[in-house]
Amino acid sequence: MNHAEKAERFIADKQRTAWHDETLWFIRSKRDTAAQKLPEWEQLRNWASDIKAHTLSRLDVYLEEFERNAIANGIIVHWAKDGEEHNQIIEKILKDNQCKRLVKSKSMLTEECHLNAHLKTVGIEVIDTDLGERIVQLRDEPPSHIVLPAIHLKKKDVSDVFTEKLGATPGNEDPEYLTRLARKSLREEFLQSEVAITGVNFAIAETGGIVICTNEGNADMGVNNARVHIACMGIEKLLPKKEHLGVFIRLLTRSATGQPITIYTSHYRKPKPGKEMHLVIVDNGRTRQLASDDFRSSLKCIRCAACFNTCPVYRRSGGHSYDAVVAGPIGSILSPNYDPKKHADLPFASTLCGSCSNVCPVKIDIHDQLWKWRQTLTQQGYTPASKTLMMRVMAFMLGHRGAYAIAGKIGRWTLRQFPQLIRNRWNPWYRQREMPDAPKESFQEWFKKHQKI
Amino acid sequence: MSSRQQILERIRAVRQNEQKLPDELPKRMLPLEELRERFIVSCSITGTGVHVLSSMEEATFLFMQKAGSCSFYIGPGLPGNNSIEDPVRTDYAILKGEFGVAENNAVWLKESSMGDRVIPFASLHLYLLVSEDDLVADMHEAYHKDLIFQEGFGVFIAGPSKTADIEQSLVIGAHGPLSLDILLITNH
Ligand code: SF4
Repeated sequence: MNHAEKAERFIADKQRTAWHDETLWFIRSKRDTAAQKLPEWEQLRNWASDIKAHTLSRLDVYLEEFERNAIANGIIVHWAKDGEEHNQIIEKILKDNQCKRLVKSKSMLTEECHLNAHLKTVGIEVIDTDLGERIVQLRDEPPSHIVLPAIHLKKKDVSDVFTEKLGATPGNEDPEYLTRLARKSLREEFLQSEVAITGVNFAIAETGGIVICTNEGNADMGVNNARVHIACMGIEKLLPKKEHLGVFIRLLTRSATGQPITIYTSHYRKPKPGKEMHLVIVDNGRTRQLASDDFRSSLKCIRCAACFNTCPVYRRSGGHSYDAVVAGPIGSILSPNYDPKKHADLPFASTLCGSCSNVCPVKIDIHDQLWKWRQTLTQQGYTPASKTLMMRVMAFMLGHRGAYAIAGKIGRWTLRQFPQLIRNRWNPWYRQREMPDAPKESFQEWFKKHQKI
Repeated sequence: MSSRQQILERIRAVRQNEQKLPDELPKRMLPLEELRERFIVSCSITGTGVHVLSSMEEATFLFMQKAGSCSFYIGPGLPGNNSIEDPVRTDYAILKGEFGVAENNAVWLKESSMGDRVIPFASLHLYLLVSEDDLVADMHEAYHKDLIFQEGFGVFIAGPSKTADIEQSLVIGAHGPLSLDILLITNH
């Protein structure tokens, strides 16, 4: 099923679609208010973009500097060229520590590598601790948004799954009650877990330390109760210096939710004496993206999700319709790099309105890259034959004036004689739209007539 | 070839011209005036309680009153610093913050002031003490401080833990403390 077909299922529930659309738009407007309060906003975006572009252009140097400092700090550093190796490294650490059950805070990278599913096959259970992620985990589905994993759900859905899995009182849909219930059950997990896995928001080359941002405090509860901390990061998470964080921390949450900063911005540099800290540095397709002039800059992404919240297609189709680990506009650029065949439809799930590029805190030219992917995927033959054929026909028509004029005439005449040809339920364009009457003459004919007067 | 070597080789193989790093970033972008007022406004936005007091003693006194007969912890560097047996089951904790940021009411807490790394997250109610003289304007100024990354662990805390993951309804008290109070010590 492609994006359009999945989206159709999502929008079948009109009320839910309207709520989803309005809620994300509200978050987008909170972002606007926060950004407009800072006169230096555009300056911050320029710096963020330049710092990331510089880091990517010297990534090898900064990775080595980071590794050197991290090792000096007592951190054990691992490198994984793909998701499989990432999973094996973690499996080994867990087995060395005889760990059967562990807590994990939000990390899109571990989602990308399908870590939970892999560990399940070897009998190890992962408990996601971000509330939104826990909800979707209990429902046995993936997150639909990278910052708000359960944004596709209503409180009734949460109440239902908590009743089934956590013994909640049936029918009690009070968000505070449900949150407290999850807090209680997850606290038990925190206290029992010997190992905690986290993602990384920023890794600082000059200090060999990492920064993790959360509002719930779940990452820190996990890490600081456990004996072993495993942090997983893509190679693109680096920043050269700690003072660069001033720019990124100011941008990240303002772009994400309109908050000036997350509640917790934690800086881990050394394991606590007697404890272990591991860092897994992962490539998994990133160096391929780095090699591409067209798509390299997508690696600047700091996963704020501003492009999701503003996207008219995302808001009205829901994250699951993308069928990708990262949905939304940025996911539609990242996903075809992993699997062009599976994700060939995603760059087309956009109006190319450019709103995503305008809100992106690191100034990725998202909509231009979507357009480039369309060309690349079509050239490589990944788009459906009907789409490719239509494009060829259109290219011929637009390139041959005579053919264009004749086709226009035939088209207008046909539609005037047989309007049901397009006004029927098999035409997807007619389903949600009124079709205008076909005009008698083309604009060119009209123009010629009136020019003479 | 190890994966480390492979990844680094692949990056080197596609190395582009060096993109320029911005010239030195400013040490501060927001004005230095009225830091206290701005800090207090920020607290009201994040649901953080704030109390302006004149001494550390006054702060710990207020804290002890709030803690009543619950289990409590007074962190290192504060009058009355006590030891604690079970840090994850603390009801009330008061810790010494190093500095506060006016633009977002974040307070920097260093590891050696926590007693145990878990305290600021596990305690049901958290009190942070900051001196008015230690307020900075914004995150640029904050990250120019040597304190950041100086110890093994450090954290900016900017409110009580919270979540809006259930239908976007804000709930204070997710996995960390249910409340945060900042005790601002003024010398004026
Ligand atoms: S592409 Fe830009 S706007 Fe989208 S998630 Fe990444 S940083 Fe945020």
